[in-house]
Amino acid sequence: MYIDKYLLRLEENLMLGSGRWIADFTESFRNHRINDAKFDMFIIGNTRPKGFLLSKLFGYFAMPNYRVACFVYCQQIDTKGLTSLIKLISSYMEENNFAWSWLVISKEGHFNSKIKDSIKKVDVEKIGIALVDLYNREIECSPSYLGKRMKAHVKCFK
Amino acid sequence: MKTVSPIQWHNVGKLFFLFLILLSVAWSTVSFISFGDIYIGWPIVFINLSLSIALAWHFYKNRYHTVFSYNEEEFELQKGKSKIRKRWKDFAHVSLVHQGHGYFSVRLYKSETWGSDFVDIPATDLKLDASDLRFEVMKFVQ
Repeated sequence: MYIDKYLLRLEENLMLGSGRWIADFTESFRNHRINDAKFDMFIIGNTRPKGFLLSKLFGYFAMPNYRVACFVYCQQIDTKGLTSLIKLISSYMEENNFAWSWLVISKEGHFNSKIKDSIKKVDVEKIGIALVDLYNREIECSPSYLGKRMKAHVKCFK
Repeated sequence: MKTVSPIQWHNVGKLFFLFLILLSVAWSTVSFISFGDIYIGWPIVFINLSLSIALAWHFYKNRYHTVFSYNEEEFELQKGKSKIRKRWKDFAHVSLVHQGHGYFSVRLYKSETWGSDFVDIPATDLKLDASDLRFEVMKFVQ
């Protein structure tokens, strides 16, 4: 599967599909640059659904309105790059008041074992990380709660 | 310049039913006060329907009808009576926005920071593929 096609499907899945069960992802940027890093896709949203009448009222009183984001990175990366990417996202989240975020790293082919091991050791609760191998259709997620939850939503190969 | 200006039948329909209800309530009130009864007949129904269509079309044209014209240099967006004409180079950043209920817009930011001044191009209202329009606009803005 090509990266462009995957990005379109992921964007649609987050904004209109299963992603809406997690958050109301409303705005998508392509080739979004943050300092030196260029994210292929960056989607922002919040945790309060829009809804209509009763669901809107319920959402207003019962749901917290956290800002959330999904960063998608489709370039070659090593363990050092991953660490700096996580640091960059953490500081960006702090500056822009994001409560949590997802980081999707996707490419057409295997990820090396070092990267796979390093995301299992990531100890950042506010960032869920997924490695998406588009060629073999395999997904490895970080062990945090956010990481486990994101697997079903970034799996949009069909 | 390429121009897109489809008629948004859902907005015409909404306005038509709104005016039909308002005119029916208004006629019922006037009729009851004047004659002591609510007079309903085919001429009244015909007048109500005709007036509703005319008012709905008038309000739609003045409030909702969107005309989008563009080329590689600039664009013109007219919604109802308000009209803007801008150059693509006046903008620095493009995003795709889900406005809710399946309605998408292409948002143009004046600076690199999102959250700054922006202009929305209502892609769904214009019956354009929002994602394709976004990529086209990104090429113009770069």
